[in-house]
Amino acid sequence: MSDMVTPDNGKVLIIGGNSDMARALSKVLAKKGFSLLLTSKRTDSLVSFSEDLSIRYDVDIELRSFDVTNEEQGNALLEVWGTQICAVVSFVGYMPNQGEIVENHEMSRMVNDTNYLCLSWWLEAWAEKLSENRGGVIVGLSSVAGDRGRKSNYYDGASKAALTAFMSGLRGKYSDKGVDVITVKPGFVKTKLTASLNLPRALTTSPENVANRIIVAIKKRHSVIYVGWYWRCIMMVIKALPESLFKRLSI
Amino acid sequence: MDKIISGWGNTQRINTTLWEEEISDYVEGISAKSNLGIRGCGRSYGDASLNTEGVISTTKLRNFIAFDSNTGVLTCEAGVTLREIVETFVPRGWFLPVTPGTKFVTVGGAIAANVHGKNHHKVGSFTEFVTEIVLLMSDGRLLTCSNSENKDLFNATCGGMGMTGLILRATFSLISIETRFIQQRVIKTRNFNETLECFKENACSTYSVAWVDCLASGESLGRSVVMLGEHARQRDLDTQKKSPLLREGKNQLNIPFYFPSGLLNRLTVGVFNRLYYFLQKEGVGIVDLEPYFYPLDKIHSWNRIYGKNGFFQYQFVLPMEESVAGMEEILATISASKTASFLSVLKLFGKDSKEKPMSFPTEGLTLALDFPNTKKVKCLLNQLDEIVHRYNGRIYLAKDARMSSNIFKKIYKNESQALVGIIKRYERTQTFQSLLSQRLKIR
Repeated sequence: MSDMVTPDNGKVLIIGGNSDMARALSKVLAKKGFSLLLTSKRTDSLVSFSEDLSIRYDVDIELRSFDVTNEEQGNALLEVWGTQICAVVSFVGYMPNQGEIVENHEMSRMVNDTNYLCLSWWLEAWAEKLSENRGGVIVGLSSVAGDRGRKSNYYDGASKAALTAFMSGLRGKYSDKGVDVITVKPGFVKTKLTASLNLPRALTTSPENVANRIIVAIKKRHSVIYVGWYWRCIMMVIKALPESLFKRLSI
Repeated sequence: MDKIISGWGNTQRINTTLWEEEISDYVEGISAKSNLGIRGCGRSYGDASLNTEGVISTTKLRNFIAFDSNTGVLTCEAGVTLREIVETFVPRGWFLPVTPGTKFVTVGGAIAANVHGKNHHKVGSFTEFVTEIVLLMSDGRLLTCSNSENKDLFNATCGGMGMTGLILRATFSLISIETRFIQQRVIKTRNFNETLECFKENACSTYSVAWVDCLASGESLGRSVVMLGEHARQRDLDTQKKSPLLREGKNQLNIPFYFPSGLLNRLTVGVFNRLYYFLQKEGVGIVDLEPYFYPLDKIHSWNRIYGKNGFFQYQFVLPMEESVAGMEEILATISASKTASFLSVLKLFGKDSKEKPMSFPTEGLTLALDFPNTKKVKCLLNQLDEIVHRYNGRIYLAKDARMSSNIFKKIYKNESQALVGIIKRYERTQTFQSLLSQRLKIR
């Protein structure tokens, strides 16, 4: 791991801890000896998971409720844990069916707030906290969907595009302040969120692979990673297509 | 999910629906089922974990729930394996109080089979260290069982082979160890009487087990290699071992395919036995606990060495007073049959809790034998059943794949009636069954 991210230097804060990818990363980190501050909107299904990890790897796992749209919860976390964290990893993502979002302003507001706007407050605040203490890393889960808006997924895509741009700026701001900012862009991942979708096997990865790629990225201090790596090539092609052609594609 | 499953002996394969869910799904859905088996790692040798109507798998019940690092008391879900417990807790100075010869057993399976180890003569079986079990009953009730609550159900579940309910979680104590090494002493004996004398002289040894050459006959009948063991203290080790609790090296071998049937026969086993007996060196040495307790675990899928027909493991116990005459008759019968037992392991059993009706161990000598699955062997085992019964002995259900309900009712007459009585007290329907319970007509 990079110098700033070691078990001795502090805990890892996980935001959106209920997701399969978050659980996979929590396991890897606990196995490496990291104590965790595991947060999620709903924590009841994380209780037995965190107790098991804590006993299995002999590390402290604190479990806290944290809805990114709840400012009180967010501020409390910063106040109580601010000096004890060396890394923050966000797996937050709200992805309702696009058909349901259209004309549902409340839902589209929620998508935007959860995936980008409110999350951005906390990513900035934690980057600032880390820079004041011993440095560290901020990792945010975006998506290949943010690389270009597709007609089948542009509400979620837009929020991820906003997050990607935001993190790019954050990366620049903190690059000389001892805080790395890493954008993770997974393609298709086999999780409970995507269980009902028919994803092409060759292009679908596992939550465990995403977790392992994140560890490598932190260690090697990467800026933007695609999981699997081939998505970088796929998205390069997608982004290069002229709009006159792209708008007619059914993807 | 439809799957083909078998016991470890591979003598019977069935196609069944394997239910691999989380606890909450089992609690919600159990009352809709009427005939279900239960399966952990599937390491029982026969049909104890098989049921053609459906089988609940505990593979997802894998959480540690609580651990007291002062007392070593652990609570975990029933699908946690002994391997996970050894890997997690040995580096922290804790070990299983009783362990069978393989780590690939779930906690639920260890309770349901009431497993024993090389130290039964000193401390009894695994469930002596279990203080609480939580059972899911067929109507969805969760029952906590212990010495003070639902005590009869607790006792019936220990060794109850999954017939009393689905074990969801259990609480039991680990023992404290200073190092992960065993101080082993190897003694060679020339015949069965010497082996027995050796066990008696070393009854205060924490661990003892004997590998028996079942093909030796005449004056050498029952010649053995006895392996005694004590947990090594720090002072017993070379100063070179800096981390006495951490494991060095983890090479795992695998048997990737079935060997041809008949590879293990009287000739090949005879050669192996002679070599093994003569090459073993007597004396004292330090060994890691892995090869001492789990010699075969290093070879993944070692059961394939017996070929696709599989093999029977036959384990019985004879009460102390009858054990000499009984063992001699059994060994002579095996020798005369000209069949070969590849692995023959002898242990001393101490007193066991009489409160647990289906608990296998009883004070005396127990012998476990491996035989290939052939007609000749099936005849031999029927003969051995009669001899065991004649000497008031018992046969271990966790290993059994072929005993008849007739002989079972003779051997376990009172115990099976007690078990059925207790089950009827708590269950209205007969949900938890296996091909074992059906074959032995336990109900």
